[in-house]
Amino acid sequence: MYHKTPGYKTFSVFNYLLLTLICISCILPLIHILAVSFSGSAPANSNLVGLLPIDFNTEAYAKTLHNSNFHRALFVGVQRTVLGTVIGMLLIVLAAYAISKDAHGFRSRTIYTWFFLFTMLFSGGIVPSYMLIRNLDLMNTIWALVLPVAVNVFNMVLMMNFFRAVPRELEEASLMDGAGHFRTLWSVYLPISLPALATISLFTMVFHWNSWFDGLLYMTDYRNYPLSTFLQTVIVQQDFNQINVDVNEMKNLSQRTVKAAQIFIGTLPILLVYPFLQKYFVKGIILGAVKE
Amino acid sequence: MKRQVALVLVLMLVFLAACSNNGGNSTEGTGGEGQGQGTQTEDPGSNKEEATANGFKDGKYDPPISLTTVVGLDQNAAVFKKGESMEDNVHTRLVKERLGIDLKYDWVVTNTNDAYKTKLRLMLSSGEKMPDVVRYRGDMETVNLLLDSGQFMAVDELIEQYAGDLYKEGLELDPTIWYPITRDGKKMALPILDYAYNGNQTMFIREDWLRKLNLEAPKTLDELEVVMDAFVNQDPDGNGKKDTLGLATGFKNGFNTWMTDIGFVFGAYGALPGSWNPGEDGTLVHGSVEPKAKEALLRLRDWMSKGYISQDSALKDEVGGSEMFTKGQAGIMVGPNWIPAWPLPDLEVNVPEAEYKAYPLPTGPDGIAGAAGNNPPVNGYLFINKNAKHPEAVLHYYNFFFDNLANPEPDSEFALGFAEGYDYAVLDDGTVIRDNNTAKEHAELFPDVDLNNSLPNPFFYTLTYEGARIPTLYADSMVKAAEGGELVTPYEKMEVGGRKEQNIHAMKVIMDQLDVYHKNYYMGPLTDTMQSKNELLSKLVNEAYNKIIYSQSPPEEFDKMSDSWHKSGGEQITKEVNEWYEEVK
Amino acid sequence: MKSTVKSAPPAPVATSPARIPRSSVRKPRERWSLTWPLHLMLLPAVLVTILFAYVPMGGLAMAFQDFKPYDGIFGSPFVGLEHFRFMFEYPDSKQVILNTLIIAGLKIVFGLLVPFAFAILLNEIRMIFFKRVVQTLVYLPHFISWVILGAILTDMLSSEGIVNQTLSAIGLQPVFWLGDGNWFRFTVVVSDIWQNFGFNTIVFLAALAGVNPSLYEAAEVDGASRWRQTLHITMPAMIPIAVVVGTLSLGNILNAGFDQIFNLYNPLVYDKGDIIDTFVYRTAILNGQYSFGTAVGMFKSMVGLILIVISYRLAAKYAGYRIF
Repeated sequence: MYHKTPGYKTFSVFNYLLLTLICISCILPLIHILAVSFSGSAPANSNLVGLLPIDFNTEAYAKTLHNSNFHRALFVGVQRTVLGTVIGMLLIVLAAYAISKDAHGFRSRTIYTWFFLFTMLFSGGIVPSYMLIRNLDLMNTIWALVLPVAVNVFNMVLMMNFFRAVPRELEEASLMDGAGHFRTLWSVYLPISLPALATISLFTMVFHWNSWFDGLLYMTDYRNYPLSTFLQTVIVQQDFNQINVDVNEMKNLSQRTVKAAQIFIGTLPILLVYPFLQKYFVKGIILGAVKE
Repeated sequence: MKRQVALVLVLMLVFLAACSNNGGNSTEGTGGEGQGQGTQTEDPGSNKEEATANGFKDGKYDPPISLTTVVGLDQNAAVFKKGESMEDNVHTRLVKERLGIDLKYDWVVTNTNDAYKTKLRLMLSSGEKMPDVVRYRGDMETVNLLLDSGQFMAVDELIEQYAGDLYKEGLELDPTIWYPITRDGKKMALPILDYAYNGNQTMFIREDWLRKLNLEAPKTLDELEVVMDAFVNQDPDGNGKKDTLGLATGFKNGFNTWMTDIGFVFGAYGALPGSWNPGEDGTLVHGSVEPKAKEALLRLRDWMSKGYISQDSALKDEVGGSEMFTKGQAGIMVGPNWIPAWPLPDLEVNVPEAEYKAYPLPTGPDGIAGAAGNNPPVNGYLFINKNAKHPEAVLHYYNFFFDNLANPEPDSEFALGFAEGYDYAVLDDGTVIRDNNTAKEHAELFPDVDLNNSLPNPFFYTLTYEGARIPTLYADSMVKAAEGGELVTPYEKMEVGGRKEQNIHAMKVIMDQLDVYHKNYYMGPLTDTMQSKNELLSKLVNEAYNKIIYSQSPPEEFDKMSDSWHKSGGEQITKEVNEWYEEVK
Repeated sequence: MKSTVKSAPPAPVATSPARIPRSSVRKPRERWSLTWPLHLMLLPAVLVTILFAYVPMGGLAMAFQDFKPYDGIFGSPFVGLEHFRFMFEYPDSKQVILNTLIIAGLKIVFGLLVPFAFAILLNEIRMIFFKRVVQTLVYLPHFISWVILGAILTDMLSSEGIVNQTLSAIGLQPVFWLGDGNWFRFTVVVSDIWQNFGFNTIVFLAALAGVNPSLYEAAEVDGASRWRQTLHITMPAMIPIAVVVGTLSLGNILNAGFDQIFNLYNPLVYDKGDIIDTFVYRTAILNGQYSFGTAVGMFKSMVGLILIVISYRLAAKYAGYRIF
């Protein structure tokens, strides 16, 4: 067995070490943010906090969690993410299945593909998009956040490539049995493609969870902001050029601890969802093993 | 497929219709029918009254009128009592009851990350109907966009007819206040007044360090160098390590900024980068390319190489620069009078024994000091829709705040603040509570207020950002206090009484050296050449400045830069700027 | 048509893109009776795309106008190719485009190689728990915006920051990471890869999840070393998806990462670190020149599209791959 050889054992040790180091580098910024969120405001504002909190306290979390706008934003954020992922996945899976077919039998697939690809590169910019949303009467609705971004072409192309890996024999057997394309997609493709589905769902979820600019544009009331837009409005740097800076304003803006707490809370949901999705990576292997 | 095509066509038509509507709109300037089919915005002025109707009697509209606007909430304005909102709060109720003005908000966003600006620009671009009054505080480009949009009216007559005395006086303090917003001789917006001299910066020094090292506060650049050298090399913080800095600086955003500004070094040589200054022959010259600036740069280069200023200065913005001071690393910081209120309290927490005090800016070889400042006391503008039914209502509103809240009489209605239970409360023994920490001990006096946050301050809910400010009032009261005068009026007690001693003293220092501050004399809109060349020119300047300071380029780089600055558009801009200057002078 | 799979190299690969026989120049007409369900499946995505992507594309007209917000798209004067001319005649444009190509190019190449290698290393981990933890943690930096990361990085890389302290502790010269042009590029590329490699790693792992474990067992029986197994089973399983991801990322050849550079750069590194987007930000966005911004965006998209088409053609012609 290969993993018994001395060479491989040495490699293994190094491998574990290397990956551990990389992981540490990835988690340090978050630990720093966590430390800031639990620190006193003076050391935090003066940038003295490293990886451990100074003047430990939980005031920043009290402030954040008491903020009713935060709760509302969290709710809208979750709503948007769930709805956006469900609708997005539906459209992507259906379309990806269709264009994964060979150009022999389904000649128009190539046209469709480039039709989609083109939109990945070119866009009209925010002014016409804004006008469109306004004229469709979608302002201030969750649909303005979900529909325009429902067809993610990158994800669609990925999904299509995963679908192409499904053995043709399975598909043909299914079609022979008299199942239509919808049935085949549902009962043959999807079960085999769980790792891919998990991947693309994750991407879609993360995309929706992190998007903030559309919330800013299409919500006429800040109380309808999704979480990321809400966070963006508290985190981001100010542009003070040509403004008479006011001391009251600065006092409020510079609450680093609160910002840190909000970033951390904002990252938490994905931290929770991801491990749950990971089990489908493993399931895919088992199914893959069974299939042949 | 056919149905699909049909649908697409319908949608495209809808879109085109909307767009052409917009096009027609702007050329004819009729703001009325801007909405394409399918939009739901109500026409706010639909309750038709007599078009002429002034209806303003005894300080009140009867029947009440409505005034539409849009708002980007700043962070401190976004604190509300439970159950209140921008649309319905103690401020809107007061205005409705006392003035008969019903404020209506077409939309409300939180104003960070340029949200408000983005929305305003989108509104303009998509031909949406503008509300009766639009306020804007921020970049001049957006101000110019609004001015040139043709949607707003000239305000000359309005001011003449309706502005109250206090507002008029404030406007007259500095006639250049009108320069940026004058078009074809007409005043196109109402300036929102702010406290004068509030942005002027002076030098703050660690007193405990001076004392420890037996030093005098520096009066000249040479003396400043002696002090900085001691701060760097004689271990003023006593930790046995050479880890201190002379001056806290952050010039990532340039050499004319609002805090930790390094412009005073240039000022000591008679040049001010990033602004247009009158030269010897009376014409305006650009301060960044004046030969005098080169000497200041060489001085900074020397400071950088000796470690007086941080190696990271070019990477830090104003706040980043101030951190060097608040964490106790640097001994000197330049900033406005109010930095003892923010961010310097952090220094007192981080270094409990720290003491600091404001000093005049140091002078250069010719005995002069100089810095940017003394700009007209304006912070934002109100734009009035030319189709507004009651354009004068805005002035009635502003007057009300000037007359009653800007400098209230003792024992008058607003003597203690805007509203009890919001921005203040009074205990039985007469003490007034104004901060949320004390308020926590008397939560019953602040019903429905979240005391984890700062107290809701209705001044920030106003159309004019913070009620009304009489430009000279702040500096005058501070100087009075610094000279030992008794605090009498509610304003003095509240605004000055709440200030730290160092803050009051700093304002006095600034007022005593008022003639060292020079404003940017060019206040017109971007000229044609500026639009196409500004980026290139400022890149030239910033790159050369930084590289010279960091010794990455030889000093001669300055002459090369100045040369190409003039050749690649600077000369043309100078010409345009002076044409404008001739006109307004 | 599927018979061509037989000619596939080494091991039967799990994810292999559709192969097209080179002889088939003429394709048969599509039979509507067979394909209508496929059209139906595409209908929702097509409608959404037309409505929300193609309809607003009318806005591209701005690139040929002198757009003024208050005049609208239909009221602004037409200026033809003026903005494109301005872009190419601008004294700095060559330098800026070159910077962009270098930074974006390095990001694309290493943004593909690093996750590829990382996925292989992760594939060798046998402790499922460790594997999952690693997978989750490396995805974390992706969630922190550059406003925050930029501040953290500026601190870490400052003259007294932890990185330079470590360097001097082991006797090396401190480095001015963000103030020296060449080091700046290095920093930008490395930190970008660091932030995003978790993303593509997931894609590659998903591809690996489709590999039939019996392939490894068979190879084991044949006495193939682990390295050979990696070479002939693991890598081929990821290559097709890597090609797809790589090709798609070519569309970004002129996007060097605005948020990142904007939060890290400073006048000291203008000559090496100023990219198209930061340049456009300073010229167009700050000065309200929408049209110029649109024109530059269009130019970037055109270049991206051309590269994608070329690589698509090349793959189809020489490798028989139809990527999309």
